[in-house]
Amino acid sequence: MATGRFPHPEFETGYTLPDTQVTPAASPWWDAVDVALLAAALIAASVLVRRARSRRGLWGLTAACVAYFGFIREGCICPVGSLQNVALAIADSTAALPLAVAAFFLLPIAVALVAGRTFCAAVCPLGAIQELVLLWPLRVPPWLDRPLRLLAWLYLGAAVLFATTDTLFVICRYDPFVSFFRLDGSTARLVLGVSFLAVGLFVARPYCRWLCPYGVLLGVASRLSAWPVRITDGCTRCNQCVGACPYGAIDAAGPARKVEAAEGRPRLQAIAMGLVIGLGVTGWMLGVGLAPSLAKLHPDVDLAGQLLDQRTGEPAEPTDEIRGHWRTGEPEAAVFARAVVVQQRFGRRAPQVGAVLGVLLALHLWLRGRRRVLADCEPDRGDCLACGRCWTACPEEPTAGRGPLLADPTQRRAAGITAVIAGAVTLGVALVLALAPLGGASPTGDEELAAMKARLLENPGDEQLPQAIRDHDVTLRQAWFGRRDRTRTGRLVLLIAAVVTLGAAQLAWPYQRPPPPPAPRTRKTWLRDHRRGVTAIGIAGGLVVVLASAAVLLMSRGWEDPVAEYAALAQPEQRLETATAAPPPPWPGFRGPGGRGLADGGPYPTAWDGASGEGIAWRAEIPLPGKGSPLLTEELVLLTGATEEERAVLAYDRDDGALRWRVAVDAAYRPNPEDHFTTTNTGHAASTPATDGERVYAIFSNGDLAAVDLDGSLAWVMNVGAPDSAYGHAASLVVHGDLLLVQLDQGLAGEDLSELLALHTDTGRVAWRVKRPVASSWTTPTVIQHGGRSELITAADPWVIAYAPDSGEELWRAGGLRGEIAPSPLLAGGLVLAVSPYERVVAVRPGGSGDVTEGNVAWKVTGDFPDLASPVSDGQRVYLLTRDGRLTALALDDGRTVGEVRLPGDYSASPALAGGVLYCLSESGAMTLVDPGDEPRVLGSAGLGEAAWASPAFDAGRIYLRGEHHLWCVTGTEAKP
Amino acid sequence: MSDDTTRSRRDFLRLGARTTALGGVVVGGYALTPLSGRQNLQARCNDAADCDTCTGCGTVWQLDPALCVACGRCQTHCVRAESAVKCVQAFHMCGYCRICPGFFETPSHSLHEAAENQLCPTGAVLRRFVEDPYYEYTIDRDLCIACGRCVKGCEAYGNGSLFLQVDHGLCLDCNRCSIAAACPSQAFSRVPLLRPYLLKGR
Repeated sequence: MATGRFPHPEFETGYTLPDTQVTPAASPWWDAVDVALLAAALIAASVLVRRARSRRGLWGLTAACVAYFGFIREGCICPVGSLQNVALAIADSTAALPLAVAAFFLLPIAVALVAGRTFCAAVCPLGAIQELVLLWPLRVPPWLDRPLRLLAWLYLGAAVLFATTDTLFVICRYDPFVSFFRLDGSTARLVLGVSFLAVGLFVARPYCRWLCPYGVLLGVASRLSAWPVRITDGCTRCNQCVGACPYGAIDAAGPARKVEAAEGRPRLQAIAMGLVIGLGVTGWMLGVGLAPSLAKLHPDVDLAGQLLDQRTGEPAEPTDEIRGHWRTGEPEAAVFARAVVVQQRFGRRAPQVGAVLGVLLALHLWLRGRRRVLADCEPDRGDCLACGRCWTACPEEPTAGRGPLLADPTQRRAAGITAVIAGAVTLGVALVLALAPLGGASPTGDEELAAMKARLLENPGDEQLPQAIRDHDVTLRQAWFGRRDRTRTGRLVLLIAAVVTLGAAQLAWPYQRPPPPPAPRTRKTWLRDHRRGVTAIGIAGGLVVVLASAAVLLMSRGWEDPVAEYAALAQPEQRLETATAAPPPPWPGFRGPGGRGLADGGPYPTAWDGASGEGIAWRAEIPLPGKGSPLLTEELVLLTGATEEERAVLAYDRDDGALRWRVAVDAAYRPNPEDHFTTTNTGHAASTPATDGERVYAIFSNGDLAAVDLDGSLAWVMNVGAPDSAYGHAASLVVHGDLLLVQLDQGLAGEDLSELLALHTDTGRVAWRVKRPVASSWTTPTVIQHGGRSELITAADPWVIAYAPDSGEELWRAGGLRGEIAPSPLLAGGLVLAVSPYERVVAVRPGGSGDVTEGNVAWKVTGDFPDLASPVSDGQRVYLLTRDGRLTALALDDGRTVGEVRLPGDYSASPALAGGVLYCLSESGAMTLVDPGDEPRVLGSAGLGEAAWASPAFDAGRIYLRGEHHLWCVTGTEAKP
Repeated sequence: MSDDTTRSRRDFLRLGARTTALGGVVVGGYALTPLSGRQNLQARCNDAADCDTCTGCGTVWQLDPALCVACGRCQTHCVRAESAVKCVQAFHMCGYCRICPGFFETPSHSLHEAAENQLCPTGAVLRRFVEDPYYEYTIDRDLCIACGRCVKGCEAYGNGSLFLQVDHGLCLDCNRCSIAAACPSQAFSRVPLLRPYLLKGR
């Protein structure tokens, strides 16, 4: 998760950085070419159907279109899929609809309004590939064909619903032929495509007729067409065309004797009315019932469900979706809020789509049921795919248009021989490919290799194992890449051979042998057919209603209202309040609550003597060195210690100083451990840990960062990298809400190395991280409240920067700092104070945005100011303590020096104000007590008897001090100085 | 009512419906396309203010490495048998680590380049010595199968300079990217055709 965790090397050998290698994208002009070719093909198809009446021409155009739109342009974008883009663009005004896609959607419809489904005839690559494989058409009886055609309507409804909710594009996902066009794809897809084509050898265009959602739209448009497909004039009612049409799209001419118009009509009307209402209501009910389940397909709802599952502990490991969500740094409530929007959208649109679909379907059925008595055989305008077979079969057609695709028997023979040879090749290649399974095992999934590697880690001394692993690895790689190369060429050969086989077979087929035409209609058969048709539709409609109602009833059982469930979770604040109801720890981080060095709960002891033990409640040995300060929870004193080799978090009992637990911290991976460097002055545990009452968080000089539960179990550990800074890492940690804030300043101001990191306290995952335009610093940030918002204040050379602690967004910055800054920023008297060592204190009014150096700097004063100890304030004055013991008091209103006093000794620890007394701990371990005010004066001193660098912790009348070797609990003697 | 009047009435209705539908096609087409002033509001396009040639028409799929969690689905969910997603190396971010967590298993048995120590299942991460202690790591595009193991390693322990990108030499630019549909972190989006990569650190 870290970027820039390791510095980019400075090469000495003149190595030049290569550029990241990427391949440029294809030219946008292809889109324009596609649209132009589509228009040209549509016009050509229309002319071939209406004027030239050339089935051979159509066949040639079909082959050309399958070659271009299919194999060259690889089947995307096609008009069928484009309907989803259009639906999405209509539903969502922000979704863009590229011109080419709009043209692909609209051009075939416009042409269908004029000349019928000529797009289906020859242009559509999906239709064309099915047209080419159709060798032995079987008639599908109308009672099966008609209900199956209803599937396309359902598919259209699903496609529109999922597209308008931006859930998925079903048509594209389940496009059966696209993997052929790409000579590629998963085995499942190829199998799907092969099955469609296998069925398509005998059943004409199964996809087009029964599934294609775009075909539904084209069918409607085609019903309105001005110049639809005509069968030859002068119909003799021989029904040859009816037999020749593989799509069952020709209505045979009626009986010679007139059928009374009224016959059979009232029942039809009643059924139609019932269907309109019934299917409309059913569609709406289906929509209502299915909306919650359908909404789950949307990624946002799916993620919300997974987040909910995870709260109940299932599954224990976070899913990829949850890890992805963490990565965004977005609060969970936002996901639930988005899920609610999606659910509501589904709740609205699914019934709408269902009802509209139901009514349209009923109207469609009604129109279909209204059979007219035809004088001539006529293609059904909606179902006719304009393939041209009808007129080639018609005995009245002029000779030129009749007959098989190849008229010459010798040519047909040649085509037949070609088909046989190509067919043999196809079979052979298919067999070879079947033996070497497509796709096959992935090189990443081999369990044996993983097991061998794990065994090697357990037995590093095993001398046989490495060689075994290498051999196995080579076998796997050879198998994988060998298979890849074989299938690559194999698929290409297979596809070419298959296409040649089918094309040649179709050319060779004496197509004038369609199934025997049905007998001409008499009045009796007409009425019979009509009744059957109506009954079939009625039964199909009724079945749909019954099944849908049953499905809704079954599924609605036990449903809660998922919208309400997620809506409740979309409120983040309430959850946070209940979660953090426990009282905050009394001394939670560096310099106590708010990092201000102020303690309540006084009075505090003013006299003790470490050497004699007077005024000392207990003293406990600290096994590891460290300069970080102690923390206090209600029961524990927490601190860290580390050497170059080991790091630990230690917890002592506040009552008796017993070491309650000690947790070693060791991040699993530190790639360059020898790189990290620290001076003995800083040590390896200079940062003060932080606690939120639930866990304690600690960071060490090598960048190891750990969270330990207060019962002494390690919650998580990671390495954030050792900073590149002169003294090593020393900034202390800060907890804000459920975020742990880590300031990692390093390098120089221009190097862009410094950053601020917010980690989720429960997992250690990164919530946000921002780069800081500052040099190395050793300051601890502080979170303040100002103007109704939280501001995270940081100070480093050259900027004081305030961030929004929840997002890392920069709020404002003020310049004026310089040098190696260790004193932390402080909020006092409504001002943010930052110290530039040896030279300056800057006071900035918080709030505002951007660079506020000009507007919000209240005052700046120069003087000899501390380089180590952080300031402390009583609300009127700020006290600054230099290392050599000069204590200066500045007035907060204008920064003028109001008082100054010289303290004995050297000071590393930051002073604290407790019970009206300023406690200044010197490096020798002597606590100098100062009476603050305009004229600060020394009250006295109390010794520890050992060196001390850490800042003291205060609570409930006791002071906790970290000496060089011991942790001290001071209760004080009764005697006052 | 004779047949002729039925027919002419039907033809008249049909003409009316046809004219309306054709009008609808023209108006609808105009209303929905960028010609009508509809902006391409996809975030990427708005961000790329200087992408002056972007008309909102040409976009391709790309994945945002800032969101990628290297789950491995890019390897398995592409419509192509060999995924169009490949790993790339941002050399300016790379630490040139001697012990590269994108190259070696963590923990690894030892630090030589044999199969038992390599993270990449196909040996697509190539290692070349530059100068002590730095090594250059490059990706052999032909061998990479987009499993994301090196990405995960580099993210977890390194600088995150190895990351996945859709390779536009291989991508077929499906209407709906099938990896995008499977991506757990919704890291895929359409980006301007003329800015087809979302490279890290730039």
